[in-house]
Amino acid sequence: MTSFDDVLARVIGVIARTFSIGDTSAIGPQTTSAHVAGWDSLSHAILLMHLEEEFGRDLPLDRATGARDVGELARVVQDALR
Amino acid sequence: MSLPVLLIYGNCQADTISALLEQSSLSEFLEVAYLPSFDHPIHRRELPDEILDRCTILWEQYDYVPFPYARQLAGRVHATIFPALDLNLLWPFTCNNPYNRPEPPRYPSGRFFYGDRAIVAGLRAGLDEEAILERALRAWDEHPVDLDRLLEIDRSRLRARDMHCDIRIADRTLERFIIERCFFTRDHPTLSMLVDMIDRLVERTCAFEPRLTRVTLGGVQTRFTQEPLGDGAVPIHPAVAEHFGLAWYEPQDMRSYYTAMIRHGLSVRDACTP
Repeated sequence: MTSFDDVLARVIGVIARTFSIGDTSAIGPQTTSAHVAGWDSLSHAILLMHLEEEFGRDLPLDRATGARDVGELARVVQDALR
Repeated sequence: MSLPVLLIYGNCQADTISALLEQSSLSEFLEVAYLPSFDHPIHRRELPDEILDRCTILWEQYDYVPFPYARQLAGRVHATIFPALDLNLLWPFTCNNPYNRPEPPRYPSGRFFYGDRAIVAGLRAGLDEEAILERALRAWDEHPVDLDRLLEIDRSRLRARDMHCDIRIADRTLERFIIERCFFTRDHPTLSMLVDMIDRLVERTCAFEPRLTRVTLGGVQTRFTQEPLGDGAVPIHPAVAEHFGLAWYEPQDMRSYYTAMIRHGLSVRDACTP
């Protein structure tokens, strides 16, 4: 089973690619959309699509759309991988 | 004598709706005030008490940033919550545009607020215009997108937002974008879409303010020789147009959008290169 830390690292990588972030050191599980330039409800949909491509799984849209921070998003992904 | 105020809160669409209404017959009996929900290059994110005291109608665009005067106006204005007009579907390669620069006074937030991932990558790689265009058009072959899944995601997002609003637009938008051009970027709608939203807002409000039924926007529309949110259009990849069967898509027009975005990016890149 993929560890949470592995999933989190890949989620952060996808966030970095989606929002053109060069330095990912400031992104962690507590990071919210408010901390990332360009991450709004609209671009969240594009992010979900990129996450689904990265992990090869459809995410449950109700949970994935409502995720409050990066950590919660990573947990949604980890659950989808089970 | 000071008129009662119609307050419109929201993003650049709300700003444009305000501008349209200020030029309509509505301004004979209501003063239109706009409050941005974002860091606007011109408007402040606060209102004087004098405006709030005269406010009788509020059109509030639903936003994750709460309307700051909700408590102050609660119970004494006729409020309608409406959704933003937006759609991701046509731009699966959209991204932040690091080559956007403010160009006041016409483009205080920059002309190309949104970018295209393949174009940005081409600019970063130091490619020339022709090579960037080729890379952008090849992007689909190298990285195809599951547009049917993106449709599901976007439909879910739009419907979820509609649930918070008095006006519901999701299904109408998803029916309409195939038969006519509705957007220039993912959140810059056409004038026709904006006028449709105004009609819905008026319909919701005219029981409270019957004079609104007399407001006509036809003349206002014809005064706009250009689309108010039509600058900085992001090109739509031909594969996306083909997948959705966009009836209005003109490949030559789209080519000019690609060229405009690439040339603008090149000018910014070259200006920053020592």
